[in-house]
Amino acid sequence: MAEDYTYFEFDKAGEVATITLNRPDKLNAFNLEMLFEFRRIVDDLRIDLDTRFVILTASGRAFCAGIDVTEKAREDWYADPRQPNERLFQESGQNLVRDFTNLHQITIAAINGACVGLGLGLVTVCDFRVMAEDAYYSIPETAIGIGYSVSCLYPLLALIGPAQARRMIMTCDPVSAQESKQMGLTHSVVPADELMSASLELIEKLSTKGPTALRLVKRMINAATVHQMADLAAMEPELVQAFYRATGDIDEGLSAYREKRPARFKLETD
Amino acid sequence: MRKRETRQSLAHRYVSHERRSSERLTVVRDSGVAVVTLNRPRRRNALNRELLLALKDTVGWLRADTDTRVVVLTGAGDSFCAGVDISAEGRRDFYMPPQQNERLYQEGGQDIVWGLQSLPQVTVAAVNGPAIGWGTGLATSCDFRFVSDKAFFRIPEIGFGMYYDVGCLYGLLSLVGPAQARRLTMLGEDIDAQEAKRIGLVDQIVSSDELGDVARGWARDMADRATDAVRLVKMQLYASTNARKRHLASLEIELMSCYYDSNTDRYEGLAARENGRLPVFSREAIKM
Repeated sequence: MAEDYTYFEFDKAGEVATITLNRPDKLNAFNLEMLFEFRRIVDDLRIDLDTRFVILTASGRAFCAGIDVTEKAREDWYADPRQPNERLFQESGQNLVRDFTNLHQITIAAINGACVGLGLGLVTVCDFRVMAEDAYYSIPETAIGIGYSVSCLYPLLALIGPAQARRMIMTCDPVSAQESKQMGLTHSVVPADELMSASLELIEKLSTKGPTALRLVKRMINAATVHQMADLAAMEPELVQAFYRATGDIDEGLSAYREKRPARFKLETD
Repeated sequence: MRKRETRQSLAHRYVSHERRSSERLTVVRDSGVAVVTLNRPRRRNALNRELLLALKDTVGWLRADTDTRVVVLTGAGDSFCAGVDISAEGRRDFYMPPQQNERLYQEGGQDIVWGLQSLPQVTVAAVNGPAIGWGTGLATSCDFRFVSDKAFFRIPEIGFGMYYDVGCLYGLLSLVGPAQARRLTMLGEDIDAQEAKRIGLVDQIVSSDELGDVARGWARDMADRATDAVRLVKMQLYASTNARKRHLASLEIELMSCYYDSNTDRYEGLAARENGRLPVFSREAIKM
């Protein structure tokens, strides 16, 4: 591709585009610039009528460590005038997740390693998840005192239901590839070196089906699940901003995490 | 405090570079109020591709413009907005990138409608003249509507074999309810300012020569009163009404794409309109 990306490889071949998260030294954690690059990729795909399938994968040993919460990354967090506070950051992230969800292409996540937080959010809005056998999912957000936001809760809930969603989000226990397949969260689990070939095989199968029918079914499934939550999503940016401002739990949670000590979160009685 | 000032000045710099007016869509920002003017008066501010893209761009950056607390949407000249530009000239470049087909047009169009409805600012449409089709859709996507005594609302699409699409139906429905929404969409009746006020479609009627001043004055007062709580209640009202229709709107994109690909009524409708005759539409009895 002529387009230059710092944190992605983005290739198109025939009807298949491959998005590769490419910040392996940071386990493909999203910093601000990376989010905006992903935005550009989604905008590109949205108007690309030749590409019918998208593979979302990553380089290195992890798939995605979620949002980059290092101090350096957090300093940049509200530096962009497009998202100068938490509310607008949430909104901008949410719009990105929604537009990725709404891509007319059939999307397949090829999960090569640890898939954490926002990483899990991105794969749960894909149509299929193919996973390397040593990969796992984890949602550590509540352990650092924040919620599972940016509209990532709804697709997870739709896939695995409230009991399993509670377990993943409230206990922060990781879920292995095998277990996730049993839960219905993952379409197939394959040896790591077969991840891409398995994804392409799935695409081959899908490419024999009616393209308009596939697109309509995709939209119908999203309409019947995640888009039903649009009213909740509309309130989420306000809720998260008010929560952060009121408690400061995020700062305590991150400090504790960096200092490897238990966090002392604010109680209502404090 | 200092940090906040730095952030605001950064936003302002970004505004001056990126957040510009275009010839077809002017934006004037002053004292917490942004006045957005559809500026294609010779075409009664009909939305062609260029104007649609400019509007989408503007709604996109306005939401992050924390200096702006009230947005006024109005039209230049005697019309508010004549809807989609269905002139031969308007249609010619309609399906150019990034809206290369009906589906992408619907999707991009909905970005504007949902973007407007969920703007964190208080929004007011200053309806200075006829609001036709999408024009009504833009007005109903705002929080308030001040209208000139010479304005009227009309949704003529169905009569042309077209459709009241791009997610415009939901804002209308939540304002006036199903009975009046049927009247506007299925019958295509003209609703003048008085009638619009009666059915709850507009908030205030102002004489046409005073509308601009009244709307701007109201907006300046509102800008002083637009607290966080005002934004919260706006979002809560949006979430409780139109946001709940987004799942339907996501299907509307595909529905309209297939409808226009399979149904030629609009060509008959537009031809009949141009020749001043009654259209003869197809009937569903034609078997698949």
